[in-house]
Amino acid sequence: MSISVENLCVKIGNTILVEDVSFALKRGELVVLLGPNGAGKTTLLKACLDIIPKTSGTVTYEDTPAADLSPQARARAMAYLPQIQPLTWPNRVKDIVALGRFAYGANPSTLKGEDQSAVDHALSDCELSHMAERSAETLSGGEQARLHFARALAAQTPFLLADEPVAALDPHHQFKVLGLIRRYVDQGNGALVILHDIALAARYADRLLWMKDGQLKADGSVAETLTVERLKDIYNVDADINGTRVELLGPRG
Amino acid sequence: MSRTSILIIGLCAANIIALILACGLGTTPMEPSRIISALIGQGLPSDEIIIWTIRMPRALAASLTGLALGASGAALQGLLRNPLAEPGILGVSATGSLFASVSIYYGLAALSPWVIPSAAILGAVTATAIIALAALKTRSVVTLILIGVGLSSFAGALMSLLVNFAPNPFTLSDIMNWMLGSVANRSFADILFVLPFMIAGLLIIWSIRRGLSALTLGEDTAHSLGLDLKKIRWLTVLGAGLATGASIALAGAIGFVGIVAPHMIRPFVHHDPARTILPSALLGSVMLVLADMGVRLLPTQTELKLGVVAAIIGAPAFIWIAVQRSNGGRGA
Repeated sequence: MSISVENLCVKIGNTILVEDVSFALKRGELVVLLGPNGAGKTTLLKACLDIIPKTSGTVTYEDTPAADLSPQARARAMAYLPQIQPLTWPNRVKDIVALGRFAYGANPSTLKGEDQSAVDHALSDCELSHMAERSAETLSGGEQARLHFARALAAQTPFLLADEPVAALDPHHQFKVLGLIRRYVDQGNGALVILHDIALAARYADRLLWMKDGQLKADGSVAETLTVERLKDIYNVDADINGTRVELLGPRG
Repeated sequence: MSRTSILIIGLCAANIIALILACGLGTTPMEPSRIISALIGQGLPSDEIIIWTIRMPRALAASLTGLALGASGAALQGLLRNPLAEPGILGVSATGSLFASVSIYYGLAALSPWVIPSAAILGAVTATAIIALAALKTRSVVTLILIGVGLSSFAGALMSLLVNFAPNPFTLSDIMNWMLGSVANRSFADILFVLPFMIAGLLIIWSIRRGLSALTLGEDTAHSLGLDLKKIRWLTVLGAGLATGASIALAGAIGFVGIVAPHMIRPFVHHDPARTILPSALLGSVMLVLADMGVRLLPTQTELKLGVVAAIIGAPAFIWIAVQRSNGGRGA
């Protein structure tokens, strides 16, 4: 089972945001997407989910072009974890997690059977069961990150696409959220995660995708692609690399 | 039983009580037992005439108007993700009553009893569609509300123009009725004319309630959850436009019910947009039936218009909600 992206291009007006990107994401794989600001990472993720229209290229889920999937079928295949945004309303924690069951026709006020158990599992996996009744507004940043991840987990999709899920979290919560994603992948699912922290990426990723200026510059294991040269090329920084340990020395030039 | 169910049952009971009380009010005061006998056909013939041809249609008209406005407000707030969105603020009510007034001004209303309701509904749907189109272009709800305020002022200006040029006092008085909003002298026939549109609008709003909850997470995430954004936008426009339009056809422009009712309901339903809709509609109904009783009770020389009373109570409430929001750090 996999998602494969072939020759994907996204253009808005005359600006090319993503240019001819191809890669595959398999189950049991945690792939981290790295690149500087403006590299086109978020656009690539959104184009995979059909949130932004593709200019050309295909995204295939199993053997079906994602464009041919119904919105519900797509939502049951891929969950999306956007960068954390403030909620519109101070909803209850368990109601937000229940929205993960939207594509299954579940109604948060009358959850039952599989929907109820998926929500309960997601809450307990993310250590949120004891605050299920609380208003999401009262949660700390780390708890909110877990809440949104729980919502994605409740959808029980084989794939997760996450946009900077640990941005603005302290190191302890960064490890916690990435640990949750790692566990999700080890249960036989696939995740594509955008990160800015190269050290965290090296520690958790099975594979790294490197993007710059809308293009995919490299795709391979941490050992293969994490090099001093690569960091110079992609981020314009000097670094020391020792196995999966990275020390950034400073900007170049 | 869940908190929402208890709330709904309580509000249904409040509606029944309010309707019975409204039937008891008038130059011939009646105690509840007399009203109930008249309602079930066991009362004096004169009582039955008073209740069934005068008081009940008026109270029901107030109730249905409140029902439609409460539900439309809750739906628009869910779609635009802002508690200040409401048919009155967004210019939907003003445009609906403008279209109705135009049909009165040009004497079209005399052609068929369907003309005024159709014109009001067309105006309401047009205004809602303009807001929804603007919502596609801008992500700022403040801009949307300003567009609504502009739309409202423009419709108000054109209404003033019609008043200015009114050919005779009857046309003038008819137009003023639409501007100010009133349920005086409504009959069951008036209600039956608008009921199909109102029911259609309310059913549409009810059918999209789950989607409105999904929008809590923002449009991108709602899309990833499997929500068809285009569909929910135009269904909300159609539902809120039909329901509001029908309420304008029945009672003219009545503002602020759509903002105050959902605001009071939200804390009781954990701020879930789906669970806000039905209780808001029921509360809107109770509010307008009670407000109309107030209009009839106040000892003024000329009877006050319901829309005027709703605005006098509602406008300060709107300001209060806006201030509360900015204090909470979640800019409007």
